[in-house]
Amino acid sequence: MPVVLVEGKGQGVATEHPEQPTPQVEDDRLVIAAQQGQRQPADDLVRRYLPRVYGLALRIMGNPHDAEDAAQEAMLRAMRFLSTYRPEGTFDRWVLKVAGNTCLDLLRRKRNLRVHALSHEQQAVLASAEPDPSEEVDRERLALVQKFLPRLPEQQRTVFVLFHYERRSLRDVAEMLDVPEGTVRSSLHRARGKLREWILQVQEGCCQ
Amino acid sequence: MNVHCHQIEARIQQYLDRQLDDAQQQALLLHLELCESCRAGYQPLLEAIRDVEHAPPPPLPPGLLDRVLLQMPVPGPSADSAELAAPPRPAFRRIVLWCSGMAAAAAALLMATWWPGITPGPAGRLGGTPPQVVQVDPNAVMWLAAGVGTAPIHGRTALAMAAGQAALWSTRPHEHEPARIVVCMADFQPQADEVLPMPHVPDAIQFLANQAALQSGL
Repeated sequence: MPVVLVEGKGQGVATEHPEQPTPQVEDDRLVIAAQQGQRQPADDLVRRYLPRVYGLALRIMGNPHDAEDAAQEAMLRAMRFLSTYRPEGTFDRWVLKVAGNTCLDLLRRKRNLRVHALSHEQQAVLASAEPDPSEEVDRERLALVQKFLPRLPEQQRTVFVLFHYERRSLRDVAEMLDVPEGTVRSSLHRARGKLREWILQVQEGCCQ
Repeated sequence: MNVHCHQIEARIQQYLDRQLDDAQQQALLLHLELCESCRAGYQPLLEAIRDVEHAPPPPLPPGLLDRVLLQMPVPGPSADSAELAAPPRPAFRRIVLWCSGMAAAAAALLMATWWPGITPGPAGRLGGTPPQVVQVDPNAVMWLAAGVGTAPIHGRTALAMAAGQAALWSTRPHEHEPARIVVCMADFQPQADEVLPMPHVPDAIQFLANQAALQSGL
């Protein structure tokens, strides 16, 4: 059996193209125009980032209703405070930071509401999204991870989602969540340790 | 550079942390190829993480983009960065921030009829403009949250909107300071340091509820 390693170590850095601006440059162009009071560029930023913000929220919040609220709140907050962002090619990190903190805040304030495991239908929605055609993604395995995520404590889940789903660096995640890098690393190790145990147990038919 | 079984856990974690250089990755790969036990123990995790890192974002729920665009603030340099740095305010599903359009009309109509019976709430003790918590009938809030500004307004929905507007008007300390209003389910318990419940507002809402029930036969 061939060993499969995770491919790519980068942060999804945009490919340079001589004629098209990179996504980061385009983001900043839109941000500057929006900061100057233009409405259309602000709308374009929302269109570009709401899917990512919603995806992040769904994985952290664990159910579509709370995710929808979190995504809406996060996106509106980001746009409301757009003037505080300094255009330096990191808008994606900035908006994800706002989204991650909005989710954590929601979870903290709604602690009495459990994070529900996704239903089969919700898992199917997540797993049915069209993957990058250059990558073979096992949807069943992806659904298994989605089912596992709500079992993690909030902090570990948020770190896991930002680091692996969003492919941010350890430093990025630490800055986003305002915690030491060592905390991010230990949260990741614990989360992956639990994920490994969970997958092995499922493979052995112990739990579903 | 060899990797031994007792090192595999740490190396896998370093690898997944993206902390291994090429040579270290090759050594790890070689060990996993040769060691059936380690491969069986860790390959499922590696495959799962690979899938996760290539997972596309889920499809947006219908209407979410439109709702966000509809509520977009006016762009421009107006926000206070200190507020963004502070922990963000919650986005409760049942929060209703503003009554607009038809809601305002309904509120104005109801206010014109019943305002004399409402006692305005006191100003906040925390300084600034505290969010006003208004607890109202769950059904009314849900209807309101589902269709604010777009759906036809009837009976109890109008009541909820009016209740929100009543609280807003009754607690706004100065006309130029927009008050924040949180309309929430009756079972929501706000934290003491976040909001300041106003005892007079539920009285006002109850008054409105009674009046609405009399008027509409609900």
